[in-house]
Amino acid sequence: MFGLGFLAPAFLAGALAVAIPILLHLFRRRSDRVIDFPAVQMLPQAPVQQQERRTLRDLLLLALRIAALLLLAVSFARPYVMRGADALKVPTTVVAIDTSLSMSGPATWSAATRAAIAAIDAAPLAQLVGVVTFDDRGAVGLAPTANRADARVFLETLRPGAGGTRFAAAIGAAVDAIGPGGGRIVVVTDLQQGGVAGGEAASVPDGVDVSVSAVPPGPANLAVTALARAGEGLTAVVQSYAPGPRTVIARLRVGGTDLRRTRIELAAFASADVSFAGPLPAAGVAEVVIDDVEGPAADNTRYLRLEPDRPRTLLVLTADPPESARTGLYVQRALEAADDPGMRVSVIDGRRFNGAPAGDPPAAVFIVGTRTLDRGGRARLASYLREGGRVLLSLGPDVDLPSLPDVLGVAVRLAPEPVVAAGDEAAIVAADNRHPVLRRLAGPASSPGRVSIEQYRRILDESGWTVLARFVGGALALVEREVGRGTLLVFASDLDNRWNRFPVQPSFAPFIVETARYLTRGTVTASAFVLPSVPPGVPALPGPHVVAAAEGRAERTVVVNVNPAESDPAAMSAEAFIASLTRVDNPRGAPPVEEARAQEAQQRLWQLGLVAMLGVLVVESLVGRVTRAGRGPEPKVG
Amino acid sequence: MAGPARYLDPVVLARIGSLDLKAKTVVEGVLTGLHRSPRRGFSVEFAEYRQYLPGDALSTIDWKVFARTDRHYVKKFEEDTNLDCHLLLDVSASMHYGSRGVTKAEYGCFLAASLAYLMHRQRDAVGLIAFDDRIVHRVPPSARASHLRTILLALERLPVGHRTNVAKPLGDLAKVLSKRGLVVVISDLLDDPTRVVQGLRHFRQRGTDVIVFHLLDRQELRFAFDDVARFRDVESAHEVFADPAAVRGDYLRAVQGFIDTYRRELGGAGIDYHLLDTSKPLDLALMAYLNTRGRS
Repeated sequence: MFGLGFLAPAFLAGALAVAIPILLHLFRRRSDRVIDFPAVQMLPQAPVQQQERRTLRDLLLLALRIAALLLLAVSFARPYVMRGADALKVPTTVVAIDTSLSMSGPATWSAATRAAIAAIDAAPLAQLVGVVTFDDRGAVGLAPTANRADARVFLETLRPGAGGTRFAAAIGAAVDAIGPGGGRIVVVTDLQQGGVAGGEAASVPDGVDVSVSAVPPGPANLAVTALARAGEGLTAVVQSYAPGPRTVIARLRVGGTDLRRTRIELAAFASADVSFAGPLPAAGVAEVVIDDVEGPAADNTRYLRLEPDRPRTLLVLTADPPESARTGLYVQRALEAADDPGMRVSVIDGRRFNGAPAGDPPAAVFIVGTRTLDRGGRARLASYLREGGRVLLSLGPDVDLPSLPDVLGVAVRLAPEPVVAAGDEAAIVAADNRHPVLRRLAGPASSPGRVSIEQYRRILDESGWTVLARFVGGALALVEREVGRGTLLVFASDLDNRWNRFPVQPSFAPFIVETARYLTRGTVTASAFVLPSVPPGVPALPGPHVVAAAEGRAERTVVVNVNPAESDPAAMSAEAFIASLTRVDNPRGAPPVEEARAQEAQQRLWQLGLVAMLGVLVVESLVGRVTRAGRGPEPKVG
Repeated sequence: MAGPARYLDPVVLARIGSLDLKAKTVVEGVLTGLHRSPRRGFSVEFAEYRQYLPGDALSTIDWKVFARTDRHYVKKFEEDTNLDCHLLLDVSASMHYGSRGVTKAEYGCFLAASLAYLMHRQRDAVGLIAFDDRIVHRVPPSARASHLRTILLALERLPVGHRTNVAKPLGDLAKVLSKRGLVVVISDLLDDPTRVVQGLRHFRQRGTDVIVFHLLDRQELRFAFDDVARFRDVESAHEVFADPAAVRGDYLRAVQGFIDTYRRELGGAGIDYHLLDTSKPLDLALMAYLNTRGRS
């Protein structure tokens, strides 16, 4: 679907000039004049047919002249063809139906289907209808169409999943489905409070109405919300979201065989720890199952892989031994605070690193000091990075600048002396908040802009680096580049609480953890995931899955569990939901200016318009000449 | 237009109130331009001497020459004033069309008045006949001094006629003219050329000289209309819907054929034919008359 946009629509006013030839034509074609003339007998006796031919020619000439003026005005208005659904100007009613786990109760889902079909039927006939499904993610299930029957069939065959609820995803997908013609979004949901968790606001452009068709949640729900190793046995947490006491049987199963059964008494809205004493098989997948017929079925089971995950090692390289100088302590503590059982943190100083035997390479290295590295240590680090290693280098006081190229295997041009920042000059400003390292730091409390930097090193050459953050003064604060097959992140100040107070700020731990996750991406060997955070290749369905063998790795079994927050049916009001939406100017009425300019520059329709106008003028000239030639020579009488 | 010629412009003449003054202005203007002409004048002006022959009237002998030369010579003059001139003026409805402020009828009146003035000055007997499809007014020819005024008065009071029928009044007039003379026809000739020529031939057959002044308006000659319109015949009220730009060529060819027909047929009959554009000065018409009169 395409539409026409204009970079300079004001020039379209020039199209009013078409009134000139039209008025001239109308003025000249007056045929009601009567002229007394003595020599009428000399006039041709069949002039009407000739006049009809001339009228046709005149109309053709008029059309050509109007076309030329229109083409001129349109060309000056710099037209371009808007691509995609943006061009669609027909209002659309989009039904966003919640397919999350909480909707999978038998009564809840049938009510949701009925409500969605009713919303489709209530849409004005002049509007298109579409369906968006959402849980943690929003997706266009049925693109806008005029065929209501398609929408009904789609809804009747739709089934809920095991994902969480995220209203921002629903609104975002629905807004995407609605073209620039605007329309209405009908959200069919149980209004689970968890749908707005995290404070993520859903943005609705002007011209799009949002209404809620609330579906009542099930009367009660019981769920296994956690399962973990406890010594040789297991401990599970069973949560009741029922308004009254419940009694439920919890079973432990491994390999399809029930190993333990426990009866649990649960008070209203209470939880209970259920212990299953060991020993357990060394391998396989353990399941703790409860019987709950009132609520969703997917949260009645929780899975745990019995083999421990192979941890990934994060090496913190310091200049001095951590026992003596406490260097690397803050980084170590931040990494440990992630409480990631698959992550093992090791702090080592340069001297020990120099003599350490070559073993398995770490998943990532955090370098806070290089002063004590010898030639061999520097070469090992450079080789590690070049062969695919991931390194975060902090340019603190323990970094030896002259030997730094040997450590990294690449030259980094730095000012010889650290910059002493004055005032807020060295506050950190993220250049790209979408980068995984900075994405979690967007909140006001954890903003890196609050970090007080007292000294930093100035990176002199920006070329080759991807800038992730700058200091307010413009100097580079956090940059990234590829070195060989490896990834190098450089933080221009210290991570040991000596040149700044960053390590004692709320943003430090998320920064370090997210950096660690970013640097170790692809090396994760975790075997347990919680929806919707499953890696590629792992089905987003609760239960055990065998992941196909990747290059250099063996086939393995992973488990996927539902998000326990999804089991809580607590709902908000429709008014609160509507109030949580953020209204924004309609950004979809027209593409952003830069995008429009790019499209216009690429298409260059104005040139075609001018060429077409010249062509029209040539044709007009030819038609006019034929018209004059058709009149024949006019003899001189005398 | 400078000097006397300025007064020959029909538009300028139209502003002059008195037809007498108009005629005088035209004629004097023309004659002023001819004062050095090799033409030998008219009527009583001297032409030549020749030797007396038996039979010549004795009164024609120039006795002064006889006294000087002792020979008899007879003094010859160019013309005697015994020519009857008839001005035939078409006053049909079509003659009352004019696109530049002067109608063909007005132009014809100017021309008739000027010719009458000129003829009167030459002491020719001049008469006036106004016609449309019949003779509507007639002033018999006379050379009396007061007759010019009678003709001018008649010209000023001519009524608007109806349809043109040049042939019929010509035929009627040819029957009643008993004396050979000069017939000047002033008309737009919007009639059947065959019948018109036939009528004029009656005069020639009786030995009468005929001059035809064919008056046509500038628009009739050029058809310079711009807008599509219904063209209504001023005599028959017949309408033709036409786009001037589209039909101009055909129209002009038809008009040229019409003129050529008259020019050819009248020339063949020994009749002088002069096409006059009513936007052009009158001196052309007077010069044409003088040429013809000089041959008479």
